[in-house]
Amino acid sequence: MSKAQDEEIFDTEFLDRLRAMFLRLRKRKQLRRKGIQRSPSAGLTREFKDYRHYVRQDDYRSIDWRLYARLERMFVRLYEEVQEFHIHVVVDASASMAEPFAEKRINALRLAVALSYLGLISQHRVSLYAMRERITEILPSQKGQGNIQRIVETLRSLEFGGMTRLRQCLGGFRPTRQRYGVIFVLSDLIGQNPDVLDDALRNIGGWPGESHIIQIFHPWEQTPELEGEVELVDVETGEGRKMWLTRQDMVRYTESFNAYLRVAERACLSRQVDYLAWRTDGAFEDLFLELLSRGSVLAGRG
Amino acid sequence: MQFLHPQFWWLALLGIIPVALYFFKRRSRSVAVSTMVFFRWLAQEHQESAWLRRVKRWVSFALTILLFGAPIFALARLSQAPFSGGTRNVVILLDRSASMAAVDADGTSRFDEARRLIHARVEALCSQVRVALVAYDTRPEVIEARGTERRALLAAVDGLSVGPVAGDPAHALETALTLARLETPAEIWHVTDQPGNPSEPEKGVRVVPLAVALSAPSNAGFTAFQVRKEPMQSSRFTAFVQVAASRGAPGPIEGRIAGTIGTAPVPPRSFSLKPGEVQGFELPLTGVRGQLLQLDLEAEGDCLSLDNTLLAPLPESRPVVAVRVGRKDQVDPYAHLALQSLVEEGELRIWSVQPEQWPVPDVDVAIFDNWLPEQWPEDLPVVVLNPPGSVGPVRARPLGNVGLPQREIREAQADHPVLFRVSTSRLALTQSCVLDVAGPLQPLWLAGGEPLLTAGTVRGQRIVVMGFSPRQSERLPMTASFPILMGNAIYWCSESRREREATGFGGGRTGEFVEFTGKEVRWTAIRGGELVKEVEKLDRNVVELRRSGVWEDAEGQRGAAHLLSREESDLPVLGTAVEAEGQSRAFVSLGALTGTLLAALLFLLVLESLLFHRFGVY
Repeated sequence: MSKAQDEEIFDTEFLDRLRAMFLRLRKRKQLRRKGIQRSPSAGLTREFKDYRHYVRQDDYRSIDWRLYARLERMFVRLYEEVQEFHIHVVVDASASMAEPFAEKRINALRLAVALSYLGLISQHRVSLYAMRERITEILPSQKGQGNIQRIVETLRSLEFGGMTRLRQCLGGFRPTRQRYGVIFVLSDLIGQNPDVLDDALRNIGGWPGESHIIQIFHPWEQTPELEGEVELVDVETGEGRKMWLTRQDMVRYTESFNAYLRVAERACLSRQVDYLAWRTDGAFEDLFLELLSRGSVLAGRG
Repeated sequence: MQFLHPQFWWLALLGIIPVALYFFKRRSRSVAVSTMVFFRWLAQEHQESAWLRRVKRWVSFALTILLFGAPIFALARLSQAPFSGGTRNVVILLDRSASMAAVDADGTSRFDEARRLIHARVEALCSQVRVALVAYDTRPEVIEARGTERRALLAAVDGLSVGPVAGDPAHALETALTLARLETPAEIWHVTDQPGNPSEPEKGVRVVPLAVALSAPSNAGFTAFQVRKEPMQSSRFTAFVQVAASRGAPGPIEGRIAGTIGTAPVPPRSFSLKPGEVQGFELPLTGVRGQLLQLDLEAEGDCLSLDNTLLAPLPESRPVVAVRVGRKDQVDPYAHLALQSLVEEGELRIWSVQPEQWPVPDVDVAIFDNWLPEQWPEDLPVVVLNPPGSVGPVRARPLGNVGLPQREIREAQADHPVLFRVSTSRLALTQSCVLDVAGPLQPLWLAGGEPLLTAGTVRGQRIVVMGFSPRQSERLPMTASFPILMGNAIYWCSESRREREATGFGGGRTGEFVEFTGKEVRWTAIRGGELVKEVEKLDRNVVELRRSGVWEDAEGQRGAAHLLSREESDLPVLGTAVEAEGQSRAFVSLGALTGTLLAALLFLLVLESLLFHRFGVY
């Protein structure tokens, strides 16, 4: 198992860039207000939100009698409901995330830190999970900016290794329903059986809250440069296989890989799950902003 | 299976290269991948499972080895030779007798077939086996001594040809055995049209008959020939020819005999012979002495042409010269009268000499009249009349001056030529001596059990002994039988001598030796239906007649030589040697594997190319 030993993952420069990025995010309208995030639904807070016509079965205590006296029509007062979200960050900690391309691990960890940081500064609860053969919680829910260091330490000590079993992981994950959940799955979605991908992603539709699938892959994995006789070794299973590969084989490989990406995207979109293909050679800030700009409640959607 | 050129096996060392490459080749590059899923999909398309890849790799390795092996096998000449194992010495005994010139429907002679067979077998023979070539007809001749130089051997085989000479395989086989014994185990490849079976005449030597005979040969040919001048008739000759049909002919052979004397045609004679039948013909001829007589035999489907033509000069007949030796006072006057009546210019000359003048050269017959020389002439035919004693083959005891009258003469051999047209019905003789017939002389006339007239051949010379006295006989001198008897005796005795002169020194058959004078012999022969003249240079005086035609030496002596062999004209049938022949043919078709190996090499190259470039087997 490999740990996030390299300090550069969470170095000062990264954290500075992260703060700068969030400053830019707060300039957005949805993020101007400090504190907890407003919910799109009406609640029982003191913040007036709107009126609407009274219908039967409405609580008569919410009728605005003054307005009735003036308009002789019954309206009920709507107050804003302020909700605390629970951010679940699931990090794929299988061996394929760390080897042979450490960039996948770095990107996953940085993204997890960024999402956690965003959640903490937005007064949400943040939980961290590791995904291998099943999803296990590695850090209970945290709240408040002061816990960012704990999150960083937790992620830094996260060990990568073992295999990913997508169906068991995604099927067995039960995020808490106490709060509105925002679930981020940071994974390469590479299991031992690619045919179960669609079936595994079906489980995400049953999770409470909104879900985001960020598929992290290295450019080499999409277009490997292999030719001739090679002995391939699967980093997760240790399976070795000698093959003679040609350029034509590589073209077919890329086609297969892209088709796999499309299957994942189609499976997510069909279940109203956000999907983002994250190439590790892309700029982190751009990809992160794209992720948030897709309409996450974390970014102040609605 | 054996390798004809095993020295090329050294090239097998080159096989170390692919073996080394196979076992010590660079390990494949190891690449760690996140998942094998997508590569497995590729494998599902054209990559195989591990065991199949391993099998294919072994196959590929085996193919690489075969790629080296096939050309080495081809160079080493892998051959399915049907030879017995360990043969180190081969003697090719090639029949070049006249019958090998028989052609099949395609025009291929048996000799050509034999050469083809020898080529195929020699090329399929291991290069370390020593091969000798012996060709034979009447006599064997070692053409190539034992050696391993195949090219010279095959060139020698190609340089041989068939002559109009009869064959003597037994004699040739002895020669081949002598060569085969030099190094055993040995094989004698007897390439002939004569039937035979594989045998092992002695330990270590195996005779393999390679029969090249025709399956149903049809042939008719001259097997005997003689031309004689008609006695007492000028310019008249008689040709006696004998024609034989081969026993293997599929049916009766129809044909005819035609020819020319000079430019004048000879009346043709037709014949129809059943298979194996022999028929003689007498052809009356008119010509001038020395003219060439050409006789051609034409028969439908005839396979052998060497026995179809005869060419001979009409005989140069000279008068028979007889010398009568006897004392003047003792000669028989009636015998003298009879001999004088026989004298004919150009036919018979009779000289009379005294005993003191004996021996007389250049005579054909000696007539001893009441006299015998002290030493018997062994190179001259003799007619002895009333012998006074015993000398040489003549054993006689005189009865004195009176003699013994004999009135009843009995013929012991009535059909003897000496008694031709001699009547004994009214003869009365006076026996003058008692003849001893214990030797080679046979009695022709008997009287009371005693021989009066005897004849026979002693050491090649004919002798006639008359044990009676014409002078004392009452009825003999006055009859016509006595001159006829004397004439018959003279002609019969001189016949063999005159025949030799008429047909040449050797008797007119090819394969015999003739003593020539000068440094060359001029031949007149028929080649392709045309008369051609050829000159044969001589390096010695005694030469074997190997051509058919008329020869003439520097002194003007002429003669003729022809095949005239019943054995050669009776073409053998492919019968008992079918198995050997079948072996030979099967060997020719299967023995040489070079072509097969080269085809296999091409196939392997294509297969390797497919495996490597299409299916990616490495």
